[in-house]
Amino acid sequence: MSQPPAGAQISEDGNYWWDANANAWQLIQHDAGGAADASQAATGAQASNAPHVTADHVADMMASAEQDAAEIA
Amino acid sequence: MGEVADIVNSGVAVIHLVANHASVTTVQGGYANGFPSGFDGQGLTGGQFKAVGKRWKQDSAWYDFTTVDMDFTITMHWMWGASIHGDGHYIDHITVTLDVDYLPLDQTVDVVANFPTHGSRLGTEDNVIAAMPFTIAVQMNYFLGQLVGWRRSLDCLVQGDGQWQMG
Repeated sequence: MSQPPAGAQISEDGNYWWDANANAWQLIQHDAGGAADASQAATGAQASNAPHVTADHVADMMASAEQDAAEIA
Repeated sequence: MGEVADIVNSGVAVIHLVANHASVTTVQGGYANGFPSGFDGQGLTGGQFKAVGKRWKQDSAWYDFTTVDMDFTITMHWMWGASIHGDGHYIDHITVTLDVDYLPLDQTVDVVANFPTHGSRLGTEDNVIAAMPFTIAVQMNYFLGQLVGWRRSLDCLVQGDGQWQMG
């Protein structure tokens, strides 16, 4: 496995780059790509698991944030 | 000033303020007042300003995705203790402001103060205390995975003797 040099042709599936010297497709090292895939997966999971916010939840949050009225010096 | 008629508001009826992450916009501003009926404000002397604020401040833990950080204050201002020819405790320059220390990008706060055409006359015939009740409606909208809203109505009262109510 190796990293493709700048300007190298990448296969459509993104797993190989064309090595003109060897006249062969080389497998791309997947560590970085794997991390990116994992990040994308996490982002997708976060979006799909976004909390369902109810009106009661918002009311509780605002009640928690609300302070008593007070004179301002 | 002799016989005191009703306390009226010949100033603004509505103050409308809108805030987001970047700024506070005055959609409609100005001052309400609480003069006796038929009085245009000339001869009003003395008085001092007072401000009373109500704050919403939320600091959430970084891992709490269901709570939104915010920090804004709605303040009512008025002049109290003014007299007419040495008599009474009148009010003037009643207004509402919105100050924002922090709002998230997708959050807006909408504040509308509604003032009545008539106030209240407290105290005695010889020592009138003017009072002006009004309401402040606070509407907040933000996007937290979905668009959600919250609304709160504040019953407010400012008086010529410096007393107040906001809640």
